[in-house]
Amino acid sequence: MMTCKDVAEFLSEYLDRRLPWSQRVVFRLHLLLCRDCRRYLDSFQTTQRAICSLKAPATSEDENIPDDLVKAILAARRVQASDSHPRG
Amino acid sequence: MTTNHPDDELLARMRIGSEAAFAEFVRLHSGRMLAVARRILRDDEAAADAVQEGFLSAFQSLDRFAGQSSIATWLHRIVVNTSLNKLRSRARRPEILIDDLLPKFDQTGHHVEPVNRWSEAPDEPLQREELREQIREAIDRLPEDYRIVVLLRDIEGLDTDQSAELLQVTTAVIKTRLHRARLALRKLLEPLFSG
Repeated sequence: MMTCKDVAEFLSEYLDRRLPWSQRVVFRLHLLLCRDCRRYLDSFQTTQRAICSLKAPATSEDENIPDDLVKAILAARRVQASDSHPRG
Repeated sequence: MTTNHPDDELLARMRIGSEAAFAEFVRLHSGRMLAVARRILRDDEAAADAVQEGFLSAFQSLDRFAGQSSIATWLHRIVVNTSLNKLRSRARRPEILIDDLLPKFDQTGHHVEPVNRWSEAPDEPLQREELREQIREAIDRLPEDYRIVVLLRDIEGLDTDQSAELLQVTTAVIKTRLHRARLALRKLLEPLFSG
């Protein structure tokens, strides 16, 4: 018999569909009978959505260009290049 | 047959030492990379240092970039790595114990306290910057080992294998930490959604 503690332990695996079929059935049976765990599952999913709402954008379009940092990087690159190809 | 990916031309110009190409590359990617480093380090100065180190490291290994991923993805990995190295080298701040944030059960395995229903309809409130800031603050309160896994997996979008490689731990450790971090975040976000 699965307990509420087991449900909390296997939540991520259940949601990621990594639980074996037999365990999945027992997990669902527990949810059917346990209001606390149904609510806990819902709140866990809300938590995941909240985290994912901060997901990093795939492009840099919305980012401001940090001009000072750009200058510092390019200056450091020139030093790096001259160090690797010293003159004289 | 040659490909004409937009990265290719810029990469070719950088490889022959074009100053303009380096400037274009840095301007194109520095904003996003700075945001990545800030999320990991939570310190503007350290983040700027990590980004600079990341770019210089990338420039040094331009010839080894094999083009298996986009140049942005490749640079992202490098900056995450330089940021993690900085994080490891600095003193840890006082942390909450993860066990204090995990759900509590009685001896029979049942929840010690009744679980409250959470307000659903996250679409509208989640779009509000105020709530996003509260979520960021909750993530910042996690112990470092757990905060970093949430950042890498759920926010930076790295997979389990990539995260394990960068953090030099097994994939099983990543999965366990991520699950515990999500349970802990549920606890930290409860006041925002419950009651």
